[in-house]
Amino acid sequence: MKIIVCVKQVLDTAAQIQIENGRVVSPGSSRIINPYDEFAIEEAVRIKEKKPDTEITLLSLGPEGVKDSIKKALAMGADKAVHLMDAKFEGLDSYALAQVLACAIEKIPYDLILCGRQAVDVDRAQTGPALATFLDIPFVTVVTGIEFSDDFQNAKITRQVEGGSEVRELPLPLLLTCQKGLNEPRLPSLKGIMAAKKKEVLTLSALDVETLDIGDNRVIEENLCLPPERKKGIILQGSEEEISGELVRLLREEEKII
Amino acid sequence: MIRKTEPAFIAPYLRDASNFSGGSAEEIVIPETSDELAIFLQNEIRPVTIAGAGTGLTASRIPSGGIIISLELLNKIGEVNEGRIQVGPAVTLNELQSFLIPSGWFYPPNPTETWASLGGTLATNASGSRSYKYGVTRDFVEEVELVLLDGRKTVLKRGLKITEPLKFEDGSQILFPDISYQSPECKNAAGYFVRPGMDWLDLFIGSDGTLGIFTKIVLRLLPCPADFVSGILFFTEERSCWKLIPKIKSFKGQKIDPCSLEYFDHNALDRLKSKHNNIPSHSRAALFFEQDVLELKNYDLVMENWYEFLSAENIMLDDSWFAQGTKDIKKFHDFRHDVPIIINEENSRAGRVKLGTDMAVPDKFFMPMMEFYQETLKIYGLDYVMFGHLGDNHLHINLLPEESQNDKAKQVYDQMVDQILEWRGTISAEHGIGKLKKKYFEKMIGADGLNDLRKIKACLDPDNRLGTGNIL
Repeated sequence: MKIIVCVKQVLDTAAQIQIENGRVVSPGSSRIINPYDEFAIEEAVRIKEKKPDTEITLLSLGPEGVKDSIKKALAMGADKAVHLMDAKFEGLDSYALAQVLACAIEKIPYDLILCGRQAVDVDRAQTGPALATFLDIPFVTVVTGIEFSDDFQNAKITRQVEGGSEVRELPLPLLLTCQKGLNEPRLPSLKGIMAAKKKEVLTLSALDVETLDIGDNRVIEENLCLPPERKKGIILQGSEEEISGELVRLLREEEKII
Repeated sequence: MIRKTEPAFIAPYLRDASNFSGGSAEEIVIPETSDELAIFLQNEIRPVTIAGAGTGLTASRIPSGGIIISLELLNKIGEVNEGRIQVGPAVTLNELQSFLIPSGWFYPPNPTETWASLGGTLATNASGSRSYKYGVTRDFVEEVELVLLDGRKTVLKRGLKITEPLKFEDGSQILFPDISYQSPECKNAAGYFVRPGMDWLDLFIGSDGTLGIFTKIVLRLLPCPADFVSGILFFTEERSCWKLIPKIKSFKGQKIDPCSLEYFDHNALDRLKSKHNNIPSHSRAALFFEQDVLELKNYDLVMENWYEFLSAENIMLDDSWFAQGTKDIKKFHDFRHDVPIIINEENSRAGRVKLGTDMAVPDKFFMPMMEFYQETLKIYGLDYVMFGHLGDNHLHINLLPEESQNDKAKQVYDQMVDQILEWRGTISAEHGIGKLKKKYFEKMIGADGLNDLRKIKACLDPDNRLGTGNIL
């Protein structure tokens, strides 16, 4: 089986961010693999463990720094990677990005494409479904379980729906976007890290992937601001009577709620 | 300056992480500057207990009468200047670490409890996992502003030896008493630090809030390592893990040169599985290591060195975890931090008071210590968890007795104290003595030792009013 895993690099979810000149800055913070994409990578590696002739290709788009995340995903067990890097890709919206990815994928054989359910930076959850649409293959989003038929030609997919789950059976090829709960992503082994250094990473520009005119579907950020700071809480101490008395006083005199 | 006498205001200051109860105080005083504190103390005759962030494990900040002075308003962080930073004693480790992230500088001591105040970490000479290579808090303090209980103030710089007098702003001075006591050679936080010809500064660090009050602290920083090579190794046998330690230590200063070596026994791993379900099912022990890499260009080489070394050892190498990036490193630190958290939760569910060891021994007794611990715990048949700083021969054994086994647990503890002292170890390598371990401390240093420490105390606090009940 041939699997493509789409991987996006995002700012560490634990980073403390500031906004300067309309851009998010976070000096000293690291960049990580989008946590939902880690579920996709882990699932691909688990499929390969069950079916050893599987080949896992990573597909990632972004600046040079993305190579760090590619290296990590290779250490987890992917076989090779394609890195799409071009200034022309900067600021593209999800629709245009999906077009670029679709062009790149035309040259890579696949039976299954795995994506994260969404990237935790912009939270749009569009690229995966759009990519499937451009490739004209079925897709299932928010996937929490994958089971293959014995011949790996069909898959029984569990997806999360409000208050429960939905199970669908589909033939391959198909695209799935992975949700938390699908698996627990592994930490790479030392052997995996050493082996990752020797794995192939192919870097392609806009010209290389022969993107058709992707137009100017760009997102223009008009303004960015941090959420308003929350008022600090107060912890009341003392006996039950003291606390309740003080609480009533605060609500009445200071907050003027009662 | 804030002064309060209402019980409701004082109540939160009568607790720390030790679960010790029964403290009391007449008043709480919260100064805004060191001058204000000094003037206040000149006219004060009641006993004084200093309050930090309340994360201590030995009840040092819980007073039995008198007043509490909380330093919480002395919380300013200065700028980094030539690898030095001035902080107020109330600044927490967390705050300092976040402040330093963009600066490219690094404060190596990393006590597990990051909500601790820096003043508190000086009072206990706190250490944490990286002390194996970098040393303890004491090694990173350059200067303090110090106020004695009588209100005298001085700036104490590194390099001022106890062979010289300690001078104060008002022109007065104090001489170090003539004593013969010396601190043990292993990692130690029990009692005052005393070595011939040492700095005055080192006496106050680790004095458990009994000799003076830190009002400003200047810390030494190191350039932030470019990265850490870090992993959690799993073993099918606890002994295989122990055997690795002397080997790693024999490389010290060479290509394998970790700054942390943290141990998890099978009981710790069983409990961690509830939060980390990727732990290999047949593992019986784990070792968390990290090695600082100063320049990024050396990263691959360090990684290869570890690969070569570990490949030849008895480790579940394919199932072990290795970090790639700070997110994973944080995950490993959380893994370590989760052990005491899980145990504390378990204790409070069972209504059990924490009974944990903090003992350490000199290097040559490492293997005998491990054998002794295992043998002793087996004989008594108690539930327990063993984890901690293997590189410093310093383990935390948390005894988890059923209610009917409480006496048995105390026997185990006593037996461990006796054996550790026979090896010239310490009963407290990082938590301090406070009010809870005084009985064992007396056993450790004897009546003569205690007398010597009392002489030091008498020079600086003749009426025994500061931190009364701690250590002595």
